[in-house]
Amino acid sequence: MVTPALAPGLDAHLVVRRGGFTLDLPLRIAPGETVALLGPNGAGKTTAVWCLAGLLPLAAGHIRLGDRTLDDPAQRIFVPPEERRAGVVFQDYLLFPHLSAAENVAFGLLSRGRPRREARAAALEWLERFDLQDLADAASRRLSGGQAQQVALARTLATSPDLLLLDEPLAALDVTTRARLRRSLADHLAAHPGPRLLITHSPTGAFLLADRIVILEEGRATQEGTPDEIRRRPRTPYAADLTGINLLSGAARAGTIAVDGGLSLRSAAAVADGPVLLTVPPRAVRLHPEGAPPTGAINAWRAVVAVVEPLGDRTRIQLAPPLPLVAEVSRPGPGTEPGAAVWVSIDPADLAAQPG
Amino acid sequence: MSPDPLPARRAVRAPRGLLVLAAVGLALFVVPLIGLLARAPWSRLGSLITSPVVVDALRLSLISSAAAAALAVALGLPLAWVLARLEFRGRAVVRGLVTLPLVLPPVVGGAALLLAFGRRGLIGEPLYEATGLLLPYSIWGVILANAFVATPFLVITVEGALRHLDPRYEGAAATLGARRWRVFTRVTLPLIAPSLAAGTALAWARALGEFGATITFAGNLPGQTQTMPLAVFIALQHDRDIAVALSLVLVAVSLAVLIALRDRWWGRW
Amino acid sequence: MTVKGIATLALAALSLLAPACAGSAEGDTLAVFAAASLTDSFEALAAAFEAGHPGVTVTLNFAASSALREQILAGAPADVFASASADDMNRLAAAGALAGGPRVFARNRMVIAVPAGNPAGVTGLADFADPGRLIGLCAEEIPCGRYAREALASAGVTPSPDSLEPDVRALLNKIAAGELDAGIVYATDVAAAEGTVGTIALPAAHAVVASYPIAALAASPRADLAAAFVAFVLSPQAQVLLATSGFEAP
Repeated sequence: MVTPALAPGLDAHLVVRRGGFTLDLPLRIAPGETVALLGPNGAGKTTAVWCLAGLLPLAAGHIRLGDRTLDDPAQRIFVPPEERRAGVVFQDYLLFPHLSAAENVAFGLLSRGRPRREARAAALEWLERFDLQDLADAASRRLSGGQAQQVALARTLATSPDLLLLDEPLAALDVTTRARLRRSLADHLAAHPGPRLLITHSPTGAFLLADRIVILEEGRATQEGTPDEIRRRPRTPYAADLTGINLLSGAARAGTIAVDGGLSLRSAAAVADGPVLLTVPPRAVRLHPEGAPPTGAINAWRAVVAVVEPLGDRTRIQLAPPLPLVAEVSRPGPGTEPGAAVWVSIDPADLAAQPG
Repeated sequence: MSPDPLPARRAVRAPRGLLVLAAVGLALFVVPLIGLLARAPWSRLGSLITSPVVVDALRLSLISSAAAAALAVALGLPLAWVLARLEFRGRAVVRGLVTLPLVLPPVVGGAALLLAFGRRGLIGEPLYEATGLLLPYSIWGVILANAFVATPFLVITVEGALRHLDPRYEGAAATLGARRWRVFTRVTLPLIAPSLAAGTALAWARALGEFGATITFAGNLPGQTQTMPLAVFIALQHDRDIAVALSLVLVAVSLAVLIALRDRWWGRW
Repeated sequence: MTVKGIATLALAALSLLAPACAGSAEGDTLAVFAAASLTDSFEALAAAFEAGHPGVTVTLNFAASSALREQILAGAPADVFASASADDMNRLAAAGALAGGPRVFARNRMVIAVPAGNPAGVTGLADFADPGRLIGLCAEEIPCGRYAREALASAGVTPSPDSLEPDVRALLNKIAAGELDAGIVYATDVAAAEGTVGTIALPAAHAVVASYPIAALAASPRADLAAAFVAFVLSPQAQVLLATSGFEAP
C-alpha cells in the first residue's frame, strides 16, 4: 500500500487523433482526489482512460505520474501498460472468463511475481472485504452484474495501483444495485491514496463520488470545477442539461422527507424510511411572485432569489440557502430579481427520491 | 435458470431441401466407407494387420503425423498470431503464401521441397555440406513433408479465433502488470484453446493422410519412410487385399482419435 | 411430326449406330495400357499408327506393369496391354483376360544409372550395399524392382536402399536431379534421359534382360483394331523405332 504522503499525483495533457476526432484534454489530479470525467457518448472519455492506461499512445502532450513520465511523444518516452501501475476497471469489467473470481483477483499479484500461495491468500482477503468470499471459486462467467463489478474492482485494487481509472463502473447495473454499490465504491475510493479518475455519464454518480468534475464535449474540456460550482454555474447547454439537476439529501419518515431548513417535502415515489436522495430538475422548480402564492400545492415554501443568470436560450435562477435550489425558466417572470422574495413549489411527481 | 424444454411438437424444424442435401452429403462420406468394409478380406484380416509391413507403416504414420502436428503448432501458432494482430505491408501476400500448400497438388509440394531441402537443394545442399544432415530418406523428411501440407489448416483456424478474440482482455491483463509473454500464455492461449485444439486435430488428420509430398520428398522405404498411405499405394499394385486391410486400419485409427477428441474439445468450440 | 420427319430421324440414328455395328476403324479410340518404361517409344509408335490409320486415336496409359495389371483385372477399359514383365501378363492370361497368346515384342536390359558426372564415384553393383551412398531401387512389387533384385542377387549383393520408388520414371528423375547416387533402371530410360544421367553397364555374368510381352485384351470391343495394333508393334517398322529408344530385339 502506498502511503498517502508519498502517493504521486497525475499531471497529464492528453492529445490523441483517431479518424476525424481529436482529444485535447489537460488533466491534473492530486493524490487522494477523485475527478469525474463527464460527457456525452463519443466525447472521448474512454479514449482518455486508454491513453492513461497505456493502451493507446499519445500523439502529443504528456502523462506524468509523480516524478515518472509515462508518455511523452516529444521526448520519445512511452512506458508500456504493464509498467505503469495504472489500474483500470473497465466498463464491462472484462473479467477473464476462463478464471474463477479468486483467480481473477490474484492475476495482477501473480503477474507481479508474488508466489502462488501468497497471491491466493491476498485475493481471498480482498474478496472478504467485498463480502464475496463465498464466490471465490465460482467461474467468473457465472457472476451477476453487481458481483462482477465488485470482483473487477477488487482485481484492480489488489495490485495497489498508483493511479485508479474507472470507466463507467456502475453503468451496467440496475438502479437498486447501483445505489448499494455506489456507497461501497465511495468507501473504496476514499481508501485509495493515489489520484482517481472516474468516467461516467451519470451526473448523480459524479456528484456523489467526485471532488472535482471535468466536462468533456467533443474531445475538449468545456468546464471544470467542484460539483457545486458546476451545478450552479454550468457553462454550456450540455452541462446545464446534465448537471443542472438539483440534488438534496433528506431523511424519510412515514412518507414525508425532512430536508434542510426545517422543511418537509412529499414525493410521488414510494420511499422507505431512512436516508434518501432527492432530485428535481430545475424546470420543475416553480417560482411564484410573493403576492401570489400557489394554491393547493403540497410542496411550497418561501425563499429569496440569490442570482439570476441568462444562459443561451434559458435563464437560471439560483435561490438562497437553506435550500439553494436552481430554477430554470425560458424568460424570467416579474418579481424574480435578485433579492426578491418568492414562493417556490414543486409537484411531488417531479421530486424523484432514491434510497441514499 | 434454463427455460422449460420445448414440447416435441414445437421442436425446431429444418427445411426439407436442407435435410435432403445433408443426407446426400453424408452419403458421400459413408458409401466409400461401406465399399471398403464390403470388400475387406475378413478371413485374412488378422494375419494381414499384424504383418511387419502394416505394423511398420502404422508406427511411422502415427509418429510422423504427431510430430508434424506438433511442428504445425510450434510454427503455425506464432504465424497465426502475427497475421491476426500485426499490421504490416504485404500481410495479404503472406496470408496467401501460407495457404499455398492447400491449393498446391501435394506432389508439386514434394517436388518443391526437394528443390529446396533435397541434397542438391537451395538450402539442403549447403546444409548437407556443412553438417552432413540430410532430410530426404529419413523420418525427418516425412515430418517436414507432412508439416508442409498440414500447417495451413492450423494457421487458418487459429487466425480466425484470434481475430474474434476481444483484444481488450489482453489490454486488461497488461494493465494488471502482465508482460507480453504472460499475457499470451495466461490470457490469449486459454481463450483460443478450443480453436487451437480443433486446428491441431485438423492438421494431424491431414498429416496422417499425406501421400504425394511424402513419397516425392522423403522417398519410400518400409520401416523408414513408408507411412500408411504409401504402403496402401504400393500394395494396390500387387495385392488388393493388403491395400484394403491397410486402409481399414487407417480409417479405424483416424476415427478413434477424432472421436476421442470430439468430446473433449469440439463440444466447446 | 410428319412421316418424312420421322423417317429422316430414323436414318440419322441408324447412321450413328452403323460404325458400332460394323466395327469399322472410322473415328475409333484405342486404349493402350503400357509399362512406364515404354513411355517415349510407345508415344512415337502411337503417332505412327494413327498416321497409318486415319480417324483412329490411340490413348496411352503409362504406369508400372503391376498397377496396370490390377486396373485391368478391376475392369478398366483397355484394348491392348504391353507389359514390362511376363509375370504380370501371365496373371492376366490365367484370369482369361487376354484375347490371344501374348507375344514378346522387345527386350530391355537393366543398367545402373548415376547422376551426370557420377559424383559419388559408383563403379558397380557392389556399391549398392554401401550405406554411405544414397541408393534408389524400384519397389519390389513392380517389374523394374524385381529385375534389379535379380541382378543384385546374382552378384551376391545385399542392397541398402534409401528409397523404393513406385515407378521407374520417379526413380530416374531423382537420379537425374542428383538426389540419389545410383539406381537400377532400364537401358531405355537412360536413353530417354538424354545426358542427364550416366550409365554403368552390368557385367554379362549378372546381366538381367527383361522381356516385354504384348497382347490384345478379351474384353475389348475393338478386337480387330487391337489386333492390328499388336501386329503393328511386332512389325519391322515398329522394331526400328523401338531400337532407337534403346530396346533390344525380341
